[in-house]
Amino acid sequence: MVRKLVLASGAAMVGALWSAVACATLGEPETSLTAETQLNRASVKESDFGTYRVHEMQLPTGTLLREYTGLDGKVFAVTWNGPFIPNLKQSLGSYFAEFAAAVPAAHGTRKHLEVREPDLVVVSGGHMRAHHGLAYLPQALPSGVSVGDLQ
Amino acid sequence: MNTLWTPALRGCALLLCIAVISCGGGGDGLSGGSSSTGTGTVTPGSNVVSVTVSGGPAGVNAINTLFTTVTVCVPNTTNCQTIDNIQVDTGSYGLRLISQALNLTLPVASAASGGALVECIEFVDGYSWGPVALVDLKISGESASSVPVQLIGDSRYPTAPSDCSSPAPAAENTVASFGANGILGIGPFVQDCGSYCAGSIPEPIQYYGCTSATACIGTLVPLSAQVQDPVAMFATDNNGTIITLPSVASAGAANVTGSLIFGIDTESNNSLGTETVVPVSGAGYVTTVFDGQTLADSYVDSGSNATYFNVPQGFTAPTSCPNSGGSGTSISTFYCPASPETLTAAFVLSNNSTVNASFEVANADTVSNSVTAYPGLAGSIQATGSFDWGLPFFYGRRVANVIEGAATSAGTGPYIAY
Repeated sequence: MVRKLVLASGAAMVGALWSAVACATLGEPETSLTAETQLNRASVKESDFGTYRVHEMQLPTGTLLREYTGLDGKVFAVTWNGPFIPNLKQSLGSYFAEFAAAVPAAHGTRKHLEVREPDLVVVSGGHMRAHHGLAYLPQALPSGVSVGDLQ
Repeated sequence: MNTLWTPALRGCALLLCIAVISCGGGGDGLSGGSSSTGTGTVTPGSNVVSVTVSGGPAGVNAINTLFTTVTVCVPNTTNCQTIDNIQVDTGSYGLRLISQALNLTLPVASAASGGALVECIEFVDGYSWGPVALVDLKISGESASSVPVQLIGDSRYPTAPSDCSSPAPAAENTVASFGANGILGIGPFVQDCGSYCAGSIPEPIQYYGCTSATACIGTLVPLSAQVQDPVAMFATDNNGTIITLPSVASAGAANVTGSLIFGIDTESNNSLGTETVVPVSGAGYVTTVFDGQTLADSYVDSGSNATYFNVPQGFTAPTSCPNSGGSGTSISTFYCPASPETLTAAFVLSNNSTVNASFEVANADTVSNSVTAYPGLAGSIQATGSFDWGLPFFYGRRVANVIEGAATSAGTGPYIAY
């Protein structure tokens, strides 16, 4: 219980910090390119798939972060692949506390973690210096988009 | 509160076993499991240490987890301690010791930014926090001096920065939550961060300089000061490792003993011959083909307790466990087929040809309490592009892990050979 409270307040603090630069966060509007430039992130490319857009960016650590945005302009999924796990407090935003609370019951290992809640799925895998994962809001997946489309 | 999830599934399996017994069932066909010993093909030597797939430290109930024993000393002294239940992990880098299991007072390394060097190491399910210390290390007849190791849960630095829990929210700073007395990371790279941490401070921060127990800021760390695979610091036999384990029957076994051999092509007992050589990419992955998918983010990992694979659309997967995958259950999807099934995947080699490797999928919920090695433990992972050949892959095989840059008869590392 204590840990949950601590994490929740920590997430709120980080959220406030990052909101000033509007980064990729589940359930929130997609990152502005200007903000990415401020963060010294090279925006690699933006792709339009009709019912959703993918904004792919390379973090300074070398990790590739992709945010998936629906027609409503909100991020419904984030995926990552690279040497470091990204800051999930930032990428999950208000969903991080739910993620943190679900981890102890998720039977994860040091190499695999899969949290499945009705409104949030987080899969984190890989090993040291080589990580990949995805987080998405199942109820916000655009029609016709499957998890397999989230690369 | 975290004891259930380090030995994955074990908590789940136990709960279901209890449920079956309480209904007057039972009869899982296992009466205490059987004991296995090594393959008998390893010539003993100073470069060989025994490894065992056991339940680990008291209360951990590990499954498919490989352990060994190391001796650490205060540098340049005979003040030493031998510590067992150290997990052998080809998916990480460096030696980490849980302070609970340590009764030596080891000197803490200095940070480039000033103060003590303290690390937040991220695993996908949690983080471990503690200072870097230097030890003289002995494993079997091999030794290395002033090896940087992480002391996890050290009382001198009790509080992890909040940034530490950003990628993974739970602390693994005790023997119970870590599931071992420590971990020996012997993967295909050398350092646990590499050149990035020598020139930049990652976000979230990995290495801190702490001028007091709680005043910590990010610091650069030269390669030589990073926590790193001690094998690369041995005077000889330092270019890689070989793990050999005997085959394990589908029903599982209680304690399976094999060998960890240091060096490749350096002694009579570690030469490579006709092994299949699987290249490891610069990103640290092998490529696996499974049911038509090319999975470029795959890995061969003694530190994973099961075979985890991505299920392609249209693939007829084995029966999932009854409590898996339902809405809100927050449990990984393990498999529970009525009888063991054998599936086949393949590795992509450097000439783009493929070599098949089969794996077993058996019922994850009927594992006897006494079983610690269960080759059919398997689960799905929703991450696209990944196939994790966990410890089950090592049963009945001799698997070499050649370190980056090391020249051997079968090529230059990093690569896996089996």
